[in-house]
Amino acid sequence: MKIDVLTLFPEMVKTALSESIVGRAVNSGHIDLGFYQIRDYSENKQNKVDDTPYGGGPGMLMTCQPLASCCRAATENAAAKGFGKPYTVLMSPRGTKLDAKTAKRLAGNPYMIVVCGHYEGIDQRFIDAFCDEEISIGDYVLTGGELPAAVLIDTVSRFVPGVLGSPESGGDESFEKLLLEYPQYTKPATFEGADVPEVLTGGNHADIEAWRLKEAEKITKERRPDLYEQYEESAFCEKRVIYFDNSATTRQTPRVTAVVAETARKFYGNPSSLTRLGMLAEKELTAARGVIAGTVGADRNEITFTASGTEANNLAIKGYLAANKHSGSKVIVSAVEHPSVLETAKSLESLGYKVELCPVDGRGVIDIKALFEMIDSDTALISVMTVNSETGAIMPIKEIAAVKNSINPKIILHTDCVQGYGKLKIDVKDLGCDMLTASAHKIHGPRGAGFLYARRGIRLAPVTHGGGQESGLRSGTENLPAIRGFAAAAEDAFKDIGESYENVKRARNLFRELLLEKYGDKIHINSDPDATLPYIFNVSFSPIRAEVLLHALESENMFVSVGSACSSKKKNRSHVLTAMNVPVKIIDGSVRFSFSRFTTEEEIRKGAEVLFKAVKELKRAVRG
Amino acid sequence: MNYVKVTKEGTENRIILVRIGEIALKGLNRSTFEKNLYRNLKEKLKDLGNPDIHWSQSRFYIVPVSLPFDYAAAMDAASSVFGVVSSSLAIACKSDFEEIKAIAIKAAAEKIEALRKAGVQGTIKFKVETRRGIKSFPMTSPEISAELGGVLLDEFGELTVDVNNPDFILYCEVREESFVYTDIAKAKGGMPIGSNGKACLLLSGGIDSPVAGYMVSKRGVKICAVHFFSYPYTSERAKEKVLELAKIMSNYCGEIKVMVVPYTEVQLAIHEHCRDELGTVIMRRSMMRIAETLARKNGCAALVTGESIGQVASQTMQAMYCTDAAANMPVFRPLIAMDKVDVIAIAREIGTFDTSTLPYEDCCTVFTPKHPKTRPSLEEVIEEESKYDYERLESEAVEGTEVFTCG
Repeated sequence: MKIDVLTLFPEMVKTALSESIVGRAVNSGHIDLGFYQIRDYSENKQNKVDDTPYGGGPGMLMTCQPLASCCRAATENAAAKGFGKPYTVLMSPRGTKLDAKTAKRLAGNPYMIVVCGHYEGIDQRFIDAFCDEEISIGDYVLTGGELPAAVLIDTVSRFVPGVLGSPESGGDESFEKLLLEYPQYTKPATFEGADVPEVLTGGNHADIEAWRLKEAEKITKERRPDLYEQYEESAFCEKRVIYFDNSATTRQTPRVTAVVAETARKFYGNPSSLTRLGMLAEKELTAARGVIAGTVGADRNEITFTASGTEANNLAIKGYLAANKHSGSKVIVSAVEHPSVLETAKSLESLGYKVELCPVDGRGVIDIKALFEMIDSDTALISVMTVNSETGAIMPIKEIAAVKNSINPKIILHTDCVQGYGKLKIDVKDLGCDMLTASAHKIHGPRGAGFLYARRGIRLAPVTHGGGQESGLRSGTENLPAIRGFAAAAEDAFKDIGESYENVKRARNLFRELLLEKYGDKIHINSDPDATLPYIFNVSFSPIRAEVLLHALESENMFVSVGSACSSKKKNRSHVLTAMNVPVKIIDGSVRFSFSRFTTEEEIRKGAEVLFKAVKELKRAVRG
Repeated sequence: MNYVKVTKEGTENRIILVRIGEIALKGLNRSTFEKNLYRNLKEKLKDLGNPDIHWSQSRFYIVPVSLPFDYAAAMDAASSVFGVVSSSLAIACKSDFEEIKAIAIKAAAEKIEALRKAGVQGTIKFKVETRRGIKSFPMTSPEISAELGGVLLDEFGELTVDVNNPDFILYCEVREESFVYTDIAKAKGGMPIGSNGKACLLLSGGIDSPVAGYMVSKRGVKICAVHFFSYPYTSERAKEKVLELAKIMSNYCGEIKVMVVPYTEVQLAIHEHCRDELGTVIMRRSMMRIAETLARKNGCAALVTGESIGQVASQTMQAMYCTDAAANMPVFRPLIAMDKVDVIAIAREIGTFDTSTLPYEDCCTVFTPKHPKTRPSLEEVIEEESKYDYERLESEAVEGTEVFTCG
């Protein structure tokens, strides 16, 4: 690699790089180091290289001409040696901060020019015309760019092939694995009463590796929490989290977090306020509503923001019936609804409504024929979820709409789409539903935001009364940070929705195959791949108790859900699997794995490995 | 110990008078007990303005160093310290009858106002009770009572004397200094913690063991606790629950060191190697051995459990005999003859009940035998126990113990 340094003080850089490893690399020809005195290229009589800044201000600036001429001279000399266009770096306190990744990248250039700034700075026109990048070595100001240049060249040279003795001795060190270096010891074994840690003298290499990793993690966590956070998520981290509980809630994406934070800081006005701040907030609210409406093919005015999917379900069911008292006295919901629909429906019984639960088949899909039988002239509302939260079973909402329309088109169809939103392509008109619920935190958005779509023309009565926000349907100051975060999350989820779906499907298929290969028919799969959303995969490891398995997986940093808590009490048993007629023993061993569009093949393989180990261990305690 | 004056010029001279029970009956080691109690009171009141605490003649005096001072909170705190029998919010003055008269009027006025607020109407009946601790005072106790009674009758037209059924009693104590008060709040009693050594409690997370620990602690015993943790068969939350229980107990027992023993491997080994119906008693024996090892490391002289006769299969007399035979130190079971309802009443009183009944350990039923033997013989248990390598597994469990400090 060829590196030319442009400086007013060449000796300063030269001295620093003439000894030790870099010095040897220069001698052996692995690095071709050149030095140019900028002053030599000044066309000024006094060899002047600086002048006063336009617009006033303290100090002097380096002028363009000597720098430009010097730069051209270096490039021409290099060209004579066969080097092409240089990659030019300016050492400057306002540059991006140097790190191992940058050094590695720079080492990939066959020819680099490093310009050392001096005085108060450099004429911007030189920077614009000649420099590819500005680099700083830290948040402090030095008297000139010479020492930073030496630092840069030292660290870049480590990545130049042949500079370090053995190729792996570079890779093992700090930062590349996102960890600081572990403590090191050399002879003697005891120095002034302090011993070398026993493990290092024991000769067991696996133990030594484990000890070093543990120490490196400890030190990094303590001193560089920022680095540690990156490490924890990287493939370097053995114990990184395997999160297969995405149907419970998802991790916010950095973009969503940024939008939420930005909203809290910038759009803090109350959308109802008459001031300019209020108007700005309202504009953002309207924009978010537009984005959300667009994702389901609805009109902006058909979207009501709520604080959760649960609240939206309550508003849909209670709000519709309260505003349409004469629409009928029967409500039909599927037997496998989320409690926010099931319990809401049950609460209607005390108001005189007749609530009927529509059964599902063995796959967990609603029994359309049974539904057809249930619908009568007195039916006011049907609520069936789009995707079941425990098994992933996809409900035929379109068919349900057709069936009820054939009997009485005035019957209202609501669908709780919390598990399907952002995963399935949805068009409310095409689906044929009158109302639809979704929630932000299932699609990498923030908690505290949900929405209800209600077709234009449907009258709802508010459940929460007050200042009349959300067209009077949901009073209370709008949670703008969460709502804007919701819109951002929705945009991202819908952008490549088809591709994401296929990726998740591949991940689910792989996971399923790995499990079947390992256990064959010893496990019981509750999620029929042909009838379910691939984001959810429910499987029973009976006779192992699901909650025990959950804790065993958790101890290996893998997170899943169970439909039934580990209790002898019947009420804790999954109502979904019960409705599917799954035997009690199978239910008690059922675990839900739920994936996201960020689930990788590598994560699936690792997850399966962790799962296999835990199952093997737990089999020891199985009776009989 | 010399008497330290509690009255100060320019203050209202309100203090809390704390009475100690059994300690006063102690002989030569009484001062040790008193020092212990002093330390415990001091610790308890540290965050309440760290008042001065003096003691003299079986009485402790809590004297605020700065105002405002939360007397009610300090009374409650003092009442929760074992060894304290009762306490009173008193007004102090020099032992001079004119001054005593003045504070008696003040105390009576406040009590009358309180009674009125509580809805008492018409005339209020009262009496005066006096104790004279210094014989140099010129009046006798009955003379002081009679005289003060007259002063209060003159001052408050709404008062009348009734020695048999008074609405309130004005207590007057004449010592180096004098104190007047109208109420005595009962406290926990018992002995100061640390005055009777240390014991190690087997803390399961159920209702009983915290109560057992509380009762032993009340007798002046410093408690540390052992919890057997069967992850993943019990959850992290079960551990959190036990630590929370220890924290609640620490309100009375002082700081508690909780040792969490990783117990899964032992449990699995018993499950794999030993006859099902003896599993529970073999497990209890192993727990005793581990607890004893940890107890000795911590300077404890006894183990404490929450067992009572016949509660479950492992708590029959035969089973307890087998369990005890594994331990080489006394095993205290303060609840041995108590009914569950009475245990629950104490658990509610000390505030552990709601935490104890959180449902976090059902998964442990994986290891519960279907038909445990209620009358095992020691010989068969020892024979069955020899089928697994308990020494190695138990020492590994001890090795892996995690220590938490609660309180």
